[in-house]
Amino acid sequence: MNNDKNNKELAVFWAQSQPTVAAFIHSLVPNFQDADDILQNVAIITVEKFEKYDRERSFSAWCTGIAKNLILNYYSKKGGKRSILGIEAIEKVAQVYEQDPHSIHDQIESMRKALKKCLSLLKGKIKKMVEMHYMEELSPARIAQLLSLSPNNVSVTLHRVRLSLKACVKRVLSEENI
Amino acid sequence: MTERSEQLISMFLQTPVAMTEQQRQELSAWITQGTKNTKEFIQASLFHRCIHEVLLVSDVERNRIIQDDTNIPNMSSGSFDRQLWDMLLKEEETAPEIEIERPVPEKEPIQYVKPERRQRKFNKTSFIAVVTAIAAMILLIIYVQLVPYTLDVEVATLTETVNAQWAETAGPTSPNTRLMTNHKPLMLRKGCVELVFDNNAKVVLEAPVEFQVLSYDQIKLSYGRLYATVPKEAVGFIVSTPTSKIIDLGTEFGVETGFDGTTELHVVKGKTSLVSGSADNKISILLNEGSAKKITENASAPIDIPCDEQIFARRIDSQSRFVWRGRNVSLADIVGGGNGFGTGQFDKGINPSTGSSTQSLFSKSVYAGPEHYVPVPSVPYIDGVFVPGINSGSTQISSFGLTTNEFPATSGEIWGYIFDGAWHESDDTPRHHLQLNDIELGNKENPAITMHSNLGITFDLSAIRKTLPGVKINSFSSVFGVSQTVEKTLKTRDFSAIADMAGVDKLSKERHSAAEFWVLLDGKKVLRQKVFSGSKPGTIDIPIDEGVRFLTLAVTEADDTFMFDWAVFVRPELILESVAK
Repeated sequence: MNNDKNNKELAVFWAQSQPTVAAFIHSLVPNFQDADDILQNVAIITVEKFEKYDRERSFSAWCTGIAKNLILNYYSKKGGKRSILGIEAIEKVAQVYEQDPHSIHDQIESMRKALKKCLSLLKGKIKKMVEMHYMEELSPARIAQLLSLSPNNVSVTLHRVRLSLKACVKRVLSEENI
Repeated sequence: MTERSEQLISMFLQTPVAMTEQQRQELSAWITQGTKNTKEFIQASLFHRCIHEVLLVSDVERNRIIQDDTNIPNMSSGSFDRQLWDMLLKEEETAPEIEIERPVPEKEPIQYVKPERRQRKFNKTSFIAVVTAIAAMILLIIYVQLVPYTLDVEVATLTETVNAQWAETAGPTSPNTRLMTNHKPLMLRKGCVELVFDNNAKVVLEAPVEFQVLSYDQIKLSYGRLYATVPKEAVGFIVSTPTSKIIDLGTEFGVETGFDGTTELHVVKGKTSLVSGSADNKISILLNEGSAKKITENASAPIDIPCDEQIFARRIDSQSRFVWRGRNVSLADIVGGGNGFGTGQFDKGINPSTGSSTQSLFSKSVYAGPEHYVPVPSVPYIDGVFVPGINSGSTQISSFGLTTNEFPATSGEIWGYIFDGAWHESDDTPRHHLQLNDIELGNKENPAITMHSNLGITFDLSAIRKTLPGVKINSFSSVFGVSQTVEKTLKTRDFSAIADMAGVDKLSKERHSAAEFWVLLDGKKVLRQKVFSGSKPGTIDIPIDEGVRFLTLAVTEADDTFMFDWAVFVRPELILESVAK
């Protein structure tokens, strides 16, 4: 009976906090699959340790703390001896999420519609490159291999496409006020 | 945000593990420098994720993106397109130089070279050089737009062939041959082939056909017939023809293109988007399941045509050389000695006493049916025939000893044969076609199995399934009833000579004949329905699970004797559905 109550409570808390926790992980883990795995592991740990959760604390902050530890582990695994980002930088990102958990995420959500329009403008080789990187999750080196380009060329093109899309989204939002 | 911070963020987003220690420290320091920087970093990361999600998460949304830029509301696609490319060009002007020649260390694939800050002086020669460079870039972009698929990349596999003959000797004849982009069009002279694209979209092409694989999600059909089955993960698959572009929204559809470019699109399942017209006057239409359109080069808009679901080869199997065109299995055709797809003969059937196939169907009068189950070895899809309820208690309904207690005790009297057709003839009744709802039965439009009471037949679904690779039996459907032609004969029939016979009194008074119709799956009753002559026919449409082996149809006499039970199952069909292999 008590278990049921706990489960229901956890379900409500998780539903409320999941977007913030996901956004926090997505901010620090650019690999889409790895980020999803970490989010899943956070969910598993919250279930396992929910009894230890201090109701006085914010549930979202508690989950973000768990996510932070998992990301640190992930960084040390991926980055070898060096962490991909310093602990201070991770703490700073966590701090921003604690202070204002929704604003940045909400801002991005509002950009989605504009981003769809901007993505629809990509064509040809650049579109293929973007699809390979963002959908098939291929690294610039692998894309370069498949498209007979230099890795540097692919990296720089993806960099410029990102900046152009960003500018495009900004303009669409200002033009259409969506 | 500085150019350097943008570069570092791009490195982090693309391949974080390839960043040098110095780059990591630099980015970390920048993030911690102030909340503004932290927020900008978060925003860039979430934007990166957002691109991924917009492209992938929602299939429908992704499709809209890939569809066509004419769908962007209130925006001229050309001018907007140019704005984006202008931005890329602008970025190109100010972007750092790209090192192409220098080999790049594996762990550091991104090598940005920060441009040196120079005192810019206006110089006529350099101005011309810049203008020329921009013009060259525009030309390059136009080239990329016009020739988007110039790479030799393997994107599809030839999985099945049936009697395939290619125009070229070097055609991809063997199964599992990988097909590449940037290949000249392939021409299939005879037979059928199946391709599976790397996004799992499946395409069956039927000769004569000419096509070109353009990418992992696009095929160009110059002429001929194509049938595409597009799973969820491949939504957005495109078929280009000379006059149109068909964009799938998770469907099955057939495309037929003539030599003059005239294209027909038949949507069999789901929804499809059809884009036609010239570049400056594109028409985009959403087609639902069961609809079809025809596009001609000169017509201003696509026109409606009836959807023909049975003209396209949908499934083929190299081993058995099976080609399935979407037709269902007609059990009447099987009773007529066929394979269920029209190879049987009308007025051919099974002798209930011997189980043999026969075309000599005339029966002068009723006679006592066999008391045992009679196997039918001459038709592989029919297990056997029987007389239901002839022995009170159980009735055997399969050669594997399957029995049922469902049937009530019957007289065991039968008339004629179980046959593909619908007519009756006896000593006192001239031969005539049976009818339901004023419709004549036993023809191509309304094939039927005639089986008088008290007869039953069991079909072996396993044997039928073996002939249908890539296709499953989804359900059984049929209309059934007692012919309304009984009424005419009954009106004037004198029953005085047999007035003592049980049930005759009822038949004599009511002047309608009743029979009970039965359907059993593996011996379990799924239908028992009494139907009177001249009344509304019954209908059945029941799902059939993969594990079901025996489908049994039977007709038994009701409480008005076995006489005048001119019973028929009309359009008795196994409804098929294609399945992923």
